[in-house]
Amino acid sequence: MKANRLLYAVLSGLLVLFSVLCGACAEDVPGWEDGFILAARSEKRAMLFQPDTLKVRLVDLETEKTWDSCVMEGKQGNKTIKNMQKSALLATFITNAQNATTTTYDSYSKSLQTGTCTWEMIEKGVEIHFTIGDDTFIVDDLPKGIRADKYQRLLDGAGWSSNDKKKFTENYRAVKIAGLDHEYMIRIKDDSLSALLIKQVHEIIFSSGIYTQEDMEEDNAAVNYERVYLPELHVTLRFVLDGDDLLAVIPCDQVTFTEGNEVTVLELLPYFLSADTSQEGFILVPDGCGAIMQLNNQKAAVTAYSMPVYGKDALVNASTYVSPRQDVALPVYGIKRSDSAMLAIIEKGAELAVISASVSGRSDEFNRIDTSFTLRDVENVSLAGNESVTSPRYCDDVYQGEIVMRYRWLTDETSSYLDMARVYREYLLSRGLLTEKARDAEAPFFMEVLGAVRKDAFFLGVPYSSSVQATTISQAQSIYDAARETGIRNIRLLYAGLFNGGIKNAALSRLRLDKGMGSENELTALSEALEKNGDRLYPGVFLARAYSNRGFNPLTQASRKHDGEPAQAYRFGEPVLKHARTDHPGYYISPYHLEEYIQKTLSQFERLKLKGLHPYDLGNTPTGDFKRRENLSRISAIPTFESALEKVKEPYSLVLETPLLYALRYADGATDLPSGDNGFAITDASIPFLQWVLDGSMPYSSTSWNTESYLGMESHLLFAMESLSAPRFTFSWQDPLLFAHTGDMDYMGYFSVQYSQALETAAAMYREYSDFYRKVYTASPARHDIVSATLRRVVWDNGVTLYLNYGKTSAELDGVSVPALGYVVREEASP
Amino acid sequence: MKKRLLCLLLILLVFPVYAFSDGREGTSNYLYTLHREPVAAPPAYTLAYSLTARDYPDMDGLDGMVDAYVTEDAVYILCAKRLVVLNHDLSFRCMVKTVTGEDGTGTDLDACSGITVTVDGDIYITQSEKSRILHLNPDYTLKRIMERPVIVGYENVKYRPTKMVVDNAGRLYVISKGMYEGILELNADGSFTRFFGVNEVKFTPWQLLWRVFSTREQRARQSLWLPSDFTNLCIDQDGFLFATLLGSEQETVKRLNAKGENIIKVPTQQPYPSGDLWVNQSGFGIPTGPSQFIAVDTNDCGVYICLDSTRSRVFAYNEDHSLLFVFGGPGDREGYFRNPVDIAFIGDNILVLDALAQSIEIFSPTLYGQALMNAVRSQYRYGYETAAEYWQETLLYNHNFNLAYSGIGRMLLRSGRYEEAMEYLKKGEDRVYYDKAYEKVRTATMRRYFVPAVAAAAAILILILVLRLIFRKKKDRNPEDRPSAPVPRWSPAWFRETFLGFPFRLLLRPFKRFDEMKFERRGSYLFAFTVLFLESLTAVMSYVYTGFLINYNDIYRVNSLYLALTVLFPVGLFVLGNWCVTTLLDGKGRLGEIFQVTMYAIFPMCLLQLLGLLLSNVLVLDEMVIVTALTAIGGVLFFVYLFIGLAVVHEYGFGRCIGCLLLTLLAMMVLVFILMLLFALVSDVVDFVTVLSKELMLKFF
Repeated sequence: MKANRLLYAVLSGLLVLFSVLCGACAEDVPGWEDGFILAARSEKRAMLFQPDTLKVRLVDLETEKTWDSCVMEGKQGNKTIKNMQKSALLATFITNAQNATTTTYDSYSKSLQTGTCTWEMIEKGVEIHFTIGDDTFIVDDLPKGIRADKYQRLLDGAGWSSNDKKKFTENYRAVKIAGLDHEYMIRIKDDSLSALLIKQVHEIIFSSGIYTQEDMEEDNAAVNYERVYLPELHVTLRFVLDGDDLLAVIPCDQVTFTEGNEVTVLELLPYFLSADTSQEGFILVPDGCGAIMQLNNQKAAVTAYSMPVYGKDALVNASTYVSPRQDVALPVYGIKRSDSAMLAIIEKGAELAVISASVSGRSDEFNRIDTSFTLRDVENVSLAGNESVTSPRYCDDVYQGEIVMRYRWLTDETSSYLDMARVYREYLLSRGLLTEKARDAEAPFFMEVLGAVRKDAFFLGVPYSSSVQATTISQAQSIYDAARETGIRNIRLLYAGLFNGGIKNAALSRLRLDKGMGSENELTALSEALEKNGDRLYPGVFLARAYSNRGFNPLTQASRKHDGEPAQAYRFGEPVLKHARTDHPGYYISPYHLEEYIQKTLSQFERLKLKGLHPYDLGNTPTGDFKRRENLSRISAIPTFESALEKVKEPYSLVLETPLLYALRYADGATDLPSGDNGFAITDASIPFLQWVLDGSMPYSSTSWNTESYLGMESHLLFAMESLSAPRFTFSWQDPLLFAHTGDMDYMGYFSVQYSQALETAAAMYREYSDFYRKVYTASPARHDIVSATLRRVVWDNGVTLYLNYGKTSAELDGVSVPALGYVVREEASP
Repeated sequence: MKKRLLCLLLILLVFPVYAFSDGREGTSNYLYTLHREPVAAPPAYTLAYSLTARDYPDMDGLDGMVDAYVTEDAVYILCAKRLVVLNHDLSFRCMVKTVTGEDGTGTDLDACSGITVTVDGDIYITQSEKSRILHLNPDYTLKRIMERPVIVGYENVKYRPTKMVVDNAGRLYVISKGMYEGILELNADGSFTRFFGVNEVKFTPWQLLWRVFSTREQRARQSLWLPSDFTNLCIDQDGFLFATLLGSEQETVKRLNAKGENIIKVPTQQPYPSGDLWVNQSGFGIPTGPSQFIAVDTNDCGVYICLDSTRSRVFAYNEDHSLLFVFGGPGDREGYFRNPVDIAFIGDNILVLDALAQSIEIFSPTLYGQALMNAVRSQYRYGYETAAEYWQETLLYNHNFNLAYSGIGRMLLRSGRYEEAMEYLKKGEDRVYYDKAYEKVRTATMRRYFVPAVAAAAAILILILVLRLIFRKKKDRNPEDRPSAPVPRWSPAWFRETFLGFPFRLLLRPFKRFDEMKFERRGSYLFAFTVLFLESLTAVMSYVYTGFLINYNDIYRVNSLYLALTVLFPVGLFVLGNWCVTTLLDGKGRLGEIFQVTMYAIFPMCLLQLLGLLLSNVLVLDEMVIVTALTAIGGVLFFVYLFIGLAVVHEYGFGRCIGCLLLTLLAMMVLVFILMLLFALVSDVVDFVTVLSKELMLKFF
C-alpha cells in the first residue's frame, strides 16, 4: 500500500494539472474560489470541485447561491466528528468475522489524508476512487523470517548504531527450519511489539536498501508465512450534474475490500444536508406522514432520529422487539436553511437506506440529516439447541446495482415543506412513479366492513377451529344501503374477512367464501349494486401472506430467516414486548413463489366478477427469502412485488393499505396512511407530507376514525381537512364482543365499530367533510403554517383559508376565533 | 435574532410548542381478563404535553428529579439540588436552591430525595444521604432541621430517610432505606414512636425445603432473607397510607391501616393489584421479571396509580383494586418513558417525572379515559345511575371492559331489570351479582310456569299409569328372577339389558351382580368402554359446560386431550397396578374383570357428575352445595362399588381387600416412576430426531 502512495501522488498531480487546464473557465462561475475547478455546468447550475478536499460546490447561476458537500471549518466536535464533517462518505466494515464486530472509517482521514484517493473527470461530473484504509504499520510489515545471510549482511553493512542493532537482534533470532535450504532468522515477538517499535524496526530494515520489499516477499514465502494486511476498501463515488440536480452515485459492484472485511454500511455525504447554529429553518423527515425538526431546537439530550426506509427487514432480527411504528414510505428528506432548501431523494437503493438526523448541540454545532446504506445487514443467529452461541449471518445476495442520491435544490428563500412536497411530487410524476388523476367531484368515503374471523367453537366440550361472522354479505348490503340513505356518496367499500378463514386469511390458491358469509352470487350482486351507484367493492385480502398451514406449505413456500425457520408476521404483544403467541401464524409467501401464487389466486377470483381488490400487504412489508443457498434480499425481491401488483392491477382497481413508494403507481386509492409522526422526541411537529405528495393522484384516508373514537371525531376531522384525507369508518353488524377470545389482539382492538351506533356519526362527519371538500377540491394548498402546537392555518390557492385548532381551548388567529377542537373556513374571492 | 429567541421563549411559555401531540400515540393499551390474559383496550390517557427546562426561562435545569407533590394549588417538583414550584397549569412559580433559617444561615438543598407538603403549607424535604429532614415554612424559609431520631436498639443502622408523608394528626411517616423493620412513625416533634407496617418475610415451601438440605456453608453463602424495602408512599383521602415495596413479594403495593396491616383484600378469583400479570422471565433487549412499583398516588375517588419501574408503565386501580387502565412503556417516543421516578394526579391529569429525559410529562384523559374516570367517580359517590350512564359511554369506546358491563349490570339489578342485568353481569363476569339477578329471574319464571308444569307432570304420570294398566298383562312382571332366555347379541333387547338393565340392577345388589359378572360373564366390555368414554367426556365437558356461576375456567384455552387423560391415565394405572398386585396375592380376578369392575363402579359417579353438570347451569350460588354433594356422593359410591367389586372378583375378605388396595396405590406410584424414566428417555430421543430432521429439512428444502 505504501508503495502505491507515490503512484497515487503522481497520478493526482497529473490530474490536477489536467483539471486546471480544463477548469480554466471556472473562474467566471459565481462562488468560485482558489483550488476549485468546474466539473459540470448546466443552464441554471454549475458544479465546482475542489481536488484538495474533494469538496463539491453546487452553484446557482441565477442567484449566485452556493451549497457545499462537506464542512471543512467546523468549530465544535472531537477529531472523529471533524473528520466526518470533511468526508464524502463513511464506510463501516467487518473487522472480526467471528462475532461481526465492525469499524467505521471516514474517507477524509483514511483516504484523502493518506493520499490514497484518485479522481477523474467524467461527462457532466467527476468520479472519485477512494481507497480507504489505515496506513499505520503492523507487525506483518516486517518480514516474518530473514535468510541468515541477508541478516548478516544487514547487520554488517547497514551502518546501524548499536541501539538500532539491539532493537533488530532482539526481534529476530536464529531458527533452523526443517526442510529448508537455508537457515532463517524468525520474528518472535509477534504480539508484543508496540506500534512505535514496529515503525522503528521497519525503518531500520528497509532504509538501508540492502533489504527490500521483494526480499521480504521471498523470505515470507520461503518460511511459508502468509502475511496479514490491514483492511482496505475501494469505493467509487461519482458526482454528476443531471439537469439542475446533483447526483451522488456509488456503483456497488465496484465496492471491493480485503478478505474478511466486508463492507456493511456506506454513509453518504454526512454533512451535505447540514446547517450550523446561525441558520434558521427546519429539517424534513419522512417519519409517519411527515415531520419537521426545527433547526437548533436544543434537543441535544434526546435520541437522534434514525429510521430505515420501508421499515425494518422482516427477516432480520425478527424476534427483537421494536415498538410499533409507522414505516418510512417515501425515501426523501430535506433541509431548509436561511437562504434556500435542499431536497434529497433516494433514487436507487432506497430499500437499503436508513435516514438519520440530529440537531446542533449533540456532537457539534450542526443540524444534519443523511442516509446510510446497509449493504450487508448482519444478524447474529443463535445455533439450534444453544441460544448463547451465535454466528453472524448476512444475506448472500448483496446489492450490485447503483446507489443514487438525487439532490434537488430549492433556491428560493421562502421554500417551505409544502414546496418540498410539490417538488417531490413533480419528480415522482416525471419518473412515472405516480400518475396524475383529478380529484373526484364528490368527497370519497372509505367504508370498511368486517366479515369473518377465526374463533374456536365447541362440540361436546371439545374445541375445534371455526369462524364467526361479524357481518354477512346481506348485512353488508344493508349497511351500505343505510349509508347511502344518510347521504354518504362515492363509497369505497373495503370488505375484510370474506375468504378462507376470515380477516387474516389463509392461502387463497383455493378460494372459497367463509362459511356463513353468504353465497358467491350474493357477493357478485353486492359488487354490481355498488357499481350501479358509482361506488365500488374492494374485498380486503392478504395476497403475500398466509395465516394458516391449510393449503400452504411453510417449509417450501414461506420466506425463511437466517436460522432456516419460516419467518412469521410478528405482532409484538404489549405486556411482555415479545411476539404474541398465536394459533395462526402469518407466513410471508416467498418471492420465489409469489408470482405463481398470485396467478393461481387471480384465476380463482375471476368467477366472482369483482372490480376492485384491497390487498393489505403487497404495497408494504416487502420481504426477501433467506432460504439456504438461494438467498434473495429485499431489494432484489421488490421487482417481484412490483410485477405482482402489476398483475393484480390489470383486472382490478386497487386500494392499497399504507403503500410504500414502489407500490404507489399501482394504487387507485390508499388507506391507513399515518396521520401523525412516530412521536420521537427529536421531531417537533408532524405535517401531512405524504398526503400532499399523493394528493391529485388518488383518494386516500387515514386509519378508521371510529376505531380510534376515544380521541374524539373532531381531531380526525381536523386532520382530514388539513390533509384532505377522506373519512374512513369501520362497521360491524354484530357486537364487536364477538371478537373476544379469538386470541388475537388485532381483532379485539376493533373498538366502537357496531354500525348501528357508528353510522350516524359517520354520516355527520362525512357531511361536514364534504362541505369543506366541495370548496377546495379544485384547488391545491398554497401555504401551510404551524402557528403554535395546536393551531394551524392552511391557505388554498382559490382563496380558501382553513384555520384549525387541535387544542382544548378556543384560540384567536388573524382576527378569527377558532373554537376548541374546531375549525373555521374563510373564503375570499380568488385574486 | 435575540428578539426572535425571546419571542420563541414567550411562545414556549404559553404553548409548549415542542411537545405537540396528536394524541394518536397509543402506548401499553391493554387490560387483563380474569384469566390474566391481556386484552386490547383503547388508550385512557395520552400525552398532552411534556415540559423540560427549555420551557422555563427562569429555571437552570431539571437534572436529578426525584419526587413530585401536588397540593390544592401548587405542584412541587423536587430535584436533588433544587425545589421547583409550579402552578397547576404547570406555569412557573418559583425555584428554591438554598433555604435560610431564622438565624439567617443558608442551607443548600443537596441530596434531596423526597418531599411532602402539609395542609398548612409546611414543606418537608428528606435528604437521605445526609440523614436528616428539612422542615420549611410555606415561604420556603427553614423552620427546623430534623436529625436522626433516637431508636433504641438500632444505633448501628444507618438512617437514610428517602420518602415521607405527614398525616392529619401531624405524625410523620418516614421510609428509611435499609431499615427493614418498617416505616418509621415519628411524632410531630421528631421523636420516634414505632415501626409501622412491617413487611413479613415469607418463604415458599420449596425454599424452606432447599434450606433444610443445604449445608452450613451453603446457607452462609445464600443471601439473607430480609423483609422487602419500602420504596414510596402516599396518604389517601381517608387517611390510609399507600406504600410501594421493592422485592420479589407478590404484594408490591399495600394500603395500611392504623395498625399497619395491609387492607387490600381481593376476592379469590381477582388478581392482586401487582402490575403486569403476564411477564417474561427472559428476553433479549427487553425488560424481564415482575413489575416493581416505585411510586404511588391516589385521587379523590379512590383511584390509585402505581408506577412500574421494570417496564416504565403506570397502572391505575379503582377502590376495589380492579385494573382501570395502563399507559406508558419503555422508550424515548411520545408517551413512553426512559426513567420515570414519580407520578402524581393533578386533577384528572397525571404527571410523570422522567429523570433521564429530564422532562415533566403531562397525560390527560382521552374521551374514553374521561368517561371511565367519571364512572368511577360517580360509583365512588354512590351515584349508580350516573355511573351506569358513564359506563355505557365507556362501553362505546371499549367493548372489552368487564368493569363497565358489571357496573351497568349492577345498576340494572338495582332498578329491577333482572334479565338485562343478567346479560351485562355475565359479560362483566360479575358472578356474585349475576347470581342475584339470576335468582330473581328464575323465581319469576318458576312462578309463571309452576302451575302448568305441575299440571303437565301430573297428566303425564296419569297417562303412564293408564298405559301400564292396559299393557300389564302382556308383560312379565319381574323378568329378573326368572332364568332369562338368552337374547341375541346386538338386538334391541340386548342393548337394553347391557346398558340399562344390568348396570342399574347392579347398583341395587352389588354383591350378587358382581358375582354374576364373574361367574356368568354378565359384564360387558362394550359397556365398560362406553363408561370410560363417557367419564372422559364428562371431564372435558365439565371444564367447558359447568354453569357460569362456578366456572372460572378460560374455556378457550382448553386442552381436551389433557382433560380426557386425567381420567384415562389414572384408570389405566389403577387397573394395571391392581392386576399386578393381585396376581401376586392370589387374587382370582383377571385383568379384564378388574377393568369391568372399575368401570361399573365409576358408572354411578359418572351419572351423578353429569347430573351435577346439568344442575350447575340452573342453580344459584347458594344451592351449588347440591352439586358439590352430588360429586361427593358419587365419589363415595365409586369407592364402595369398587371395593365390593374387587372383593368379589378376587374372592377376597374385607381386610385383604383393603391391603390389596393400599398395595395397588404403591404399585401405581412405582409405575409412574418407571413411566417418568421412560418418558425422559423418549423425550431425549424425540428431541434428537426432531433437531436432526429439522436440520436435514432446512438443508435440502
